[in-house]
Amino acid sequence: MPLLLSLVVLSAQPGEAPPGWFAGLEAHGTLLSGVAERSLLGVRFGGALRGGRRFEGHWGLAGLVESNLWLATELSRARVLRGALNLGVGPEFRWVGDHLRASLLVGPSILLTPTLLDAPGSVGVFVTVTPAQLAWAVRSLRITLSVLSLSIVAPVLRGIPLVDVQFRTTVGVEVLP
Amino acid sequence: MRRWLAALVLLATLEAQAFSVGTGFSSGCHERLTASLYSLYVVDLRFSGIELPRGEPWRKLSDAFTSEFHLEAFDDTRRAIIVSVLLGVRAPDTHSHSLFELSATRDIHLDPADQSAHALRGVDDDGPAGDTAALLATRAHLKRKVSEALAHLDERMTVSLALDFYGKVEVEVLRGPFHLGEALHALQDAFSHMLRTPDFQRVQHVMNFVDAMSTRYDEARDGLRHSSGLDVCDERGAGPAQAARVASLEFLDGLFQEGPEGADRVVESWLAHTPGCSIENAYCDNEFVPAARASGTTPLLGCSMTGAVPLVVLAALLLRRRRAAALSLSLTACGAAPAPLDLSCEAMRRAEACGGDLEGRWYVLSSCLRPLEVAAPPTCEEPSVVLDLTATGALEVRAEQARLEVRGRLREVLLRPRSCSASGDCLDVPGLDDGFPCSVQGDACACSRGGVGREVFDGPITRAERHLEVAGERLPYCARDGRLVVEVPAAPRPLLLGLGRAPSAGP
Repeated sequence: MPLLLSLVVLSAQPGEAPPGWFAGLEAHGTLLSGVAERSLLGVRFGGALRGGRRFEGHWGLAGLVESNLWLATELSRARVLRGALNLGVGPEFRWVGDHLRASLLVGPSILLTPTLLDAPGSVGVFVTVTPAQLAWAVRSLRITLSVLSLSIVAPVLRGIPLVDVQFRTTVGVEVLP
Repeated sequence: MRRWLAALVLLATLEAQAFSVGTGFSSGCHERLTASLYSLYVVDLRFSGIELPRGEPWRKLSDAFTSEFHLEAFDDTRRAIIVSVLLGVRAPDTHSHSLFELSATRDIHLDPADQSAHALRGVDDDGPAGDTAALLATRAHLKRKVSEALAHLDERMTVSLALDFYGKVEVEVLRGPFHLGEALHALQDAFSHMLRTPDFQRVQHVMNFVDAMSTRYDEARDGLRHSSGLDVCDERGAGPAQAARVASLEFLDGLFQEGPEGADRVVESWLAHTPGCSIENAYCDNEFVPAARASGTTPLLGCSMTGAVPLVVLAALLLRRRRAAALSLSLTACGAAPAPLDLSCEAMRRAEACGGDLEGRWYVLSSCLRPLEVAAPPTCEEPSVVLDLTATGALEVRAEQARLEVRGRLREVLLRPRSCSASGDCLDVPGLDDGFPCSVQGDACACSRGGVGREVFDGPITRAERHLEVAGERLPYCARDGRLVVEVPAAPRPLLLGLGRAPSAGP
């Protein structure tokens, strides 16, 4: 898969980012956690719908709805949990044509899975910062790659807070009308 | 990235059956062993005056533990005990950290001062004398933990543990059970970190982790490497896990029946050393040595474990510490996988005939439990208390004074006597041997003499007097040398070794 993605990216042509609406699909994943005093393993992955509107110049408005799945590795056997449903809205900044984008999205994070301490349904905060998303035009599509982004998924803020810091790698494809 | 992926694959392929604590890549062997003790023993104990921990996390953890290990808590006190003991039995391997928090894991498992908490040799425990030193250190550690438990039995304490997604979480637990959990961890490790005689009763050799992870390791001096080959945690078959469970049960029984001395006596018996086993004689040709060598703990890359070694390699090694690779040496004949226990064998026959009374020590041979030292004879006759009669002193035997002694080991307070009988010669007064009937009166055995009254003496009787007063009448005293035999019902006990019937529910 990484090889295929590389071939696609290398064969793609740069293109200007036309103003207007856009929509796309993303997949994200992370293996490790760099947070002090926590497990080194931080396997999270998921998918998202991302869309928005780009204005003339550098700025745009983006939003996403994502499902963030978690791998539990403490106490008992490893298992994938439904994790959280995250929603975010925020500004997007583009430069170098449409090759580089930065965004900051903020919104609610909703716990979907029962954890040891909390029941599903708890609502907290979701923040995701993408400092540099690379984009290549392939016909009417844009292939995107964010090598590293920072996401804070915090669906529980009361009692013992559940704040999961994720350093993600994200790939996606955008459709431009 | 490839290195990390390789590490993840390695973690994922680690054998799950092990003397490990539970993580996503290992089953909780220590927890399972300890949880089984709860079902077999602790659930039947009576508790009073215990203040419950505060906060909600312990309750939620108790829900998780009771569900995971299929335990019945019955009440909040037992729920708190379950959480406290299970967190305690995890604590020596985690010290409140995630096992995947590598910097902490390294410090925890390579701490020279903490090796006795895992029944391993310390850095200075060298040569044959190192076995003795390590055993003494382990015993001292256990004694310390028991003291801590008893000194703070009804206190609460706050401990930290690593939870998925939350990181470190503070939970209030019962201090006494928590320290008992720590003690149980060390005792159970004494079966996966020590070479033992074939019946697992005695220690032949103590293994080494802290030196084995260094480049200065020398087997002749430091002892056999720690190995995952002895970590197989299969409670169904014959092996260290089975023995560890029996020892843990005896440990609790000794503690609750006799106090710290009882616990120490049990520890001493299971840490008894059989000297003379070393590298020269393949540790007395111990059958586990090939498996231990096949899965010995080594520093990968042949370099020191400090400094430049990739953390992930260290992680893999440390995580392997208490996990098993496949056990190449089967515990049963012909290398076959351990077979299910033969239900027609002695243990089950006793269980059916004796109402589940399997108290004692057992060993496993050819997948069959066999008695090694048990309270009840195979015919399930009612056990007897035998007291030597002396010429002076009380002859009244009350139930609370009587304990059943089996091969020098006091077991339990007996229930009400079922029958009494006495025999012996009258030393002083010829002609008074015409009857010495004894009978059960209430919860005591009382003996009378020829219809002249109960022979219950409240004070010493001097040889000069040699008489008794019964209803104001002076009677010649018959000093006897003889035996009083009190038969008691076989007390129903929880089945050891998990065969069949569980103990009855709590209060």
